[in-house]
Amino acid sequence: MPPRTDTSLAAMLLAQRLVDTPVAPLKSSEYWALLRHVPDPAVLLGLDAAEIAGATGVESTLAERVARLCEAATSVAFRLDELEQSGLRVIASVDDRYPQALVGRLGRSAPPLLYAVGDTALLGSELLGIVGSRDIDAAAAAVARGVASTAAAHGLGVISGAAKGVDRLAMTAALAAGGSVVGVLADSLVRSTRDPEVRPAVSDGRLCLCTPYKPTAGFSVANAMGRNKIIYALSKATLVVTADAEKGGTWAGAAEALRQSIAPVLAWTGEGAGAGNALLVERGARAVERLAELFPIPDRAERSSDERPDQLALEV
Amino acid sequence: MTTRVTAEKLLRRLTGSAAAVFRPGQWEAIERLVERRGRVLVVQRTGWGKSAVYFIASRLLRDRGFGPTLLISPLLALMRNQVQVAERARIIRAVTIHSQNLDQWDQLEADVRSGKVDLLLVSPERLNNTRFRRDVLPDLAERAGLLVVDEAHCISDWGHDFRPDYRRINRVLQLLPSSVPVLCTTATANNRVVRDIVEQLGDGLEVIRGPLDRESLVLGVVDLPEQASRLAWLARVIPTLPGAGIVYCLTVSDTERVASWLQANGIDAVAYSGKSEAEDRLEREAALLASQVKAVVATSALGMGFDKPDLTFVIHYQSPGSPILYYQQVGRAGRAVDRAVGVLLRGREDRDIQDYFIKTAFPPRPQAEQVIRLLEERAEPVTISTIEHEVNARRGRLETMLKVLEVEGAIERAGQGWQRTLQPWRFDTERVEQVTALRRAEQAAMVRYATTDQCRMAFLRRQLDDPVTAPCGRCDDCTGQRFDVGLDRNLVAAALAHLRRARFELEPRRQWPSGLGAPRGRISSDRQLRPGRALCAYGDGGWGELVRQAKYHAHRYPDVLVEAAVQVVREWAPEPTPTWVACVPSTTSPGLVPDFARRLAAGLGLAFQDVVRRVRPGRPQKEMENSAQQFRNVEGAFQVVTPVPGEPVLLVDDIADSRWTLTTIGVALGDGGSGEVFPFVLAMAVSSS
Repeated sequence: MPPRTDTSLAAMLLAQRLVDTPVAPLKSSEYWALLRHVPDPAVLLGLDAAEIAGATGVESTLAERVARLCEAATSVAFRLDELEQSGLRVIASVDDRYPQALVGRLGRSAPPLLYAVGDTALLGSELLGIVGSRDIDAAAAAVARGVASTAAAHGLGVISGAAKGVDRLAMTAALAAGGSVVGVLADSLVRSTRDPEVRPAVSDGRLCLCTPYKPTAGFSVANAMGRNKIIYALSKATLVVTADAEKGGTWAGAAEALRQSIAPVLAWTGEGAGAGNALLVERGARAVERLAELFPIPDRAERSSDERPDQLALEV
Repeated sequence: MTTRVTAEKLLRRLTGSAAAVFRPGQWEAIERLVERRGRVLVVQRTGWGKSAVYFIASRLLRDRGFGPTLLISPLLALMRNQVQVAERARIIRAVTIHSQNLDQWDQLEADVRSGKVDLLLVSPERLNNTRFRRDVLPDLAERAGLLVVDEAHCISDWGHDFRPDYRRINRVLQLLPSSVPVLCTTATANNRVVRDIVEQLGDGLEVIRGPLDRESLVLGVVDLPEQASRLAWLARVIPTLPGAGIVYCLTVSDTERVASWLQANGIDAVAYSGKSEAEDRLEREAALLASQVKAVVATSALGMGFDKPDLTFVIHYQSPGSPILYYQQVGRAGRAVDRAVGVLLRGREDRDIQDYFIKTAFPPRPQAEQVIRLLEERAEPVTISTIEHEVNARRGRLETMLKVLEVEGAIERAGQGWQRTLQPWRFDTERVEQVTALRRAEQAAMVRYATTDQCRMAFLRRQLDDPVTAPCGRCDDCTGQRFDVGLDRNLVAAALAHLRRARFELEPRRQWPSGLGAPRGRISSDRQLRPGRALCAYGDGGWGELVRQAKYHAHRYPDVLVEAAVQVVREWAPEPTPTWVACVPSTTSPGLVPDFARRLAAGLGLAFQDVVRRVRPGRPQKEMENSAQQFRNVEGAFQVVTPVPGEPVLLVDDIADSRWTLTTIGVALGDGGSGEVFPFVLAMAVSSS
């Protein structure tokens, strides 16, 4: 592992939730606003609140918070070492491995930090999102598996949410077909490392699990929603295999991705499709009825961040 | 008031002397830490005043609003004394984190939060404790200001004293932004170790280094290959030395043998090793500190930083494997007295023991890889006893190996067991080879120290890359005055008798190995062996050397051993008295043990009955590395030719290692109808003694 730079460590100190701090870590929006003032957060290290206010022009309560957050350096170093020893990586927005697509597509709601296990280079590779409900029938399961293994055959990675149902089926099928997989977790990254399926795929360099949340976080609906946006943002396009109509996480994630144009949304309309799939097509998703229609997935122009409206802050 | 003036006031308060001024380097280090939040490595001999640097720097940083200092030191007991001095002088308020107050960490945390604590003292072992790291440290170190790493040479792979617990510190240092002030201190670091520390901490590290001479120390070397001669030398010389001192040995059993010999010769001596109870160790350290004993006979466990300024002698009964380690140990003498002596006695066994330490410093590659594979195959955490059954490694070495693999990030603790992490891992052959080559070079340098006709102190200082290496004018080479003394032949004979009188008890095994299936659990008491005896430890300075020569060269145990064995059995007088003798059939030289047993039986006036047969071939037990493997190797391998006399029996073998051979034959004899089975062996294997 290359040694961490002060820039990377400073970014981490601003946004980390690995150790408790007496003041709240910066939210995504606060983090990106601060970085607009100080592109290299390393300059904040070792300054007191007044000096920070002077150097950045931020208001004094924020300057005080930043100063307090940087004081946790020793405590964070010990915790970070422990995570790294278990095979976890923390990627800050200023690090080379941080996927720039997140900033391009999510703007100020992009997570400042990602926690990951496995090969983090996969985060920047060509990925097809495959998402869907937890409870599915045999037809939908066959679609999830078929799309995933075909993607692998086309040299495309699969990105999904690692939840029960479509997510897990797609990831397992892609790995079985020799493909690579990115799983974006809403909770419990640390626990997932003990999954017997995870180790062989990680040692092959074909699996990366990541989360914007504390690696020991428990499940929450809000986190699951935030996680969906990252799947869309890292994907070239995302296929919805099944979604309920106007309810459930898959529907909400796809509807938001369409509303905010995070990434092209494809909705399966063949056998196994859910009640919400046709409604997604009405809202602008591209209908896909047969596997053959799916590949190759056309490139699309990336939107510049200036065009991005400020989005729901991703509370990490 | 400038910072320097404030710092000097603090120094005067700390030392209690109105005339105190900083030694060269002390203020520079403080200034660098406080004014520039820099990183400093201080290499100065013990007693120079390294603690003044971090106490004063801590106070100054606290006054500027920084959080408490985190001081990592392996020497909590010693540190506590220094910390008390600083507390009494109202420089800092400190808290030591140890196992006793871990339960009160809510209170500690509250005190830290409310600013009542200026310095947190913690050991590297504690930092490596999972619960401490997860639950306690984040809160206590929440605002840590200065980080101090004591005995920083332990960070370096190249140090003579690399400790796995320090590897974590090493990595944490690399995860600290450069804005955190860091002070590393050591009394023993050569250029290579300094370079290593600089590499870890970055180019911004300032090195403050002082001369290492100790003007009161008179060094000397005496060649005495035989242990008995060295014992005689100690008994002659120690009473002539003023004050109190340390006698260093390489092994635990040597400390006990030497201490009991000195006691028998009217010298007030106690043994000290890592095997002593913690309480006993503290008590013995205290007794030495107060000069209530003449000598503490210790392994290197009486180690770094033991600080008795008026220690007047350090004698090595055996030679350590590195001049730097030797300097560190001998340098404990003469800190605050006008004259102290440091004598190295060289023995025949030194090299073998050093070789053993070098060979066992790293886990063997196949075993490390086997452990990793085993953990990778299991979804659930694996306990150490399960690992022990699969991997041919001794429990102690297995524990060390697991610790090394843990700090390498290959495995981690999970509940009661171990699991593989997601980190890639490979056996670092290159590092092992480099470090081993370095250890060999140090071993050779230590021989040169002993054989040089140039100044010995200058030699040691050169080894430590001390720039000043003028002859000391005090050592035996400089003055021509040797430490040899005429040895009284009767005293040497008494020493040999002492070595040969050492009694070794053979404890019966009471449990079958766990996890192997049947047989399991407790060995029923009527099938257990009775407590037994050994004549010596294999290869030791008493009978051990003779046993070794006889086993591998003469292929017959000489009568003198039979006579000694007869005497031991007579003195032992087991009850109920055995009426006959059986023996273990040898694996390699078939006649060796029966021949000995037959003569021993004759000497005791008992009948010898050759009733034990090997029915399944096995490999020599010494090739098996742990108890479970040794059990497997002999399980079902022996049969007893029935009927056997229904009377108590003496079961004889030459070398006992795991005791599984004796235990399984004991069970077979009992099942065959014999009475109680009392084992007797010529030697206990070194690893089991």
